[in-house]
Amino acid sequence: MSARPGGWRRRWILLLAFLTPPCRRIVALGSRELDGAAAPWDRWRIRVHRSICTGCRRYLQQLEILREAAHGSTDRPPPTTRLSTESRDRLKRRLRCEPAKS
Amino acid sequence: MNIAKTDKPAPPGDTRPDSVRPGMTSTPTLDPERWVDDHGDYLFHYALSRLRDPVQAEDFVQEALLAALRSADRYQGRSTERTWLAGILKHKILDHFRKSGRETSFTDLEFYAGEEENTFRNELYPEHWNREMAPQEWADAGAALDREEFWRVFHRCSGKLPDRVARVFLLREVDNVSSEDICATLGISPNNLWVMLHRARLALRRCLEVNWFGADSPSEEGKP
Repeated sequence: MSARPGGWRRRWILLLAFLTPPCRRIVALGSRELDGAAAPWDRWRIRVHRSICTGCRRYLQQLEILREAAHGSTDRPPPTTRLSTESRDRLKRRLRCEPAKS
Repeated sequence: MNIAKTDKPAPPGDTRPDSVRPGMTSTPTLDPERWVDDHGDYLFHYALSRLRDPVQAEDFVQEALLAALRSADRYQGRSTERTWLAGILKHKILDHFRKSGRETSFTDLEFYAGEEENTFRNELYPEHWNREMAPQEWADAGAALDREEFWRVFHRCSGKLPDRVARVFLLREVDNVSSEDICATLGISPNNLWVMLHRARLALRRCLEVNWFGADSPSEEGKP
């Protein structure tokens, strides 16, 4: 009697899924891991879970992209948050009144 | 006053040394009015994204520039002028957070709680991704970061975060302040910090997926 094609693989995935917490917990732990606050046991569970779960794998990869974007966002201010000409002039006037230490 | 460097990289093809390129000051100068022209927008955006109040943000930029002017003799030129000025502004804002954090309860644990519940509502496998909310593949994410329109979407999405959550997220992800320091500055527990950071990431990721990366976002042709 032979096993159904892919049967062992499916059983293996189910076993790993049983050993790791559900996706909701994994993404919360993944967020902690990003802040260096996940315990070794949790890091192992995250690694095992992301090897069998496409949703969590994508989510955790996208957190890295989000981090990169957040880092870059300060250099890309939206046009709406630029200093107005009046504010610019006001700041310059105030700076002119201040004696500099040089 | 020491050598003041600006952040402007040499444009392609410009092989002139920094000392002769406009905007790259390599002689000792002190020109605070140029700070406003060169770094004003950057500093204002920095302050506004954290304080969420244009008047207050301008006040903090002014305070930071005045403090820079008063301590200009201590500027060693080891970092760029912009990094130096942003560092002063960052400390002023952190001081402000430290003071106001002590006065009010800072946590916002309700934010995105309902959405998180829906994201992991799965009849078959409890607490696993809801089929419709599960993350999609983000095609060409690296290229997105070069597009102006992406940044408009990013700022729109981060602008939707509640003040407290946004503040925590920016301190951690942009300013790279450690979790311990954020907790000490804002007077919150590590658990509350992690919940807020986690929800901020869930919400921002989802917003970017829906408005930029997802199937329903503007088509490739529609993106500038």
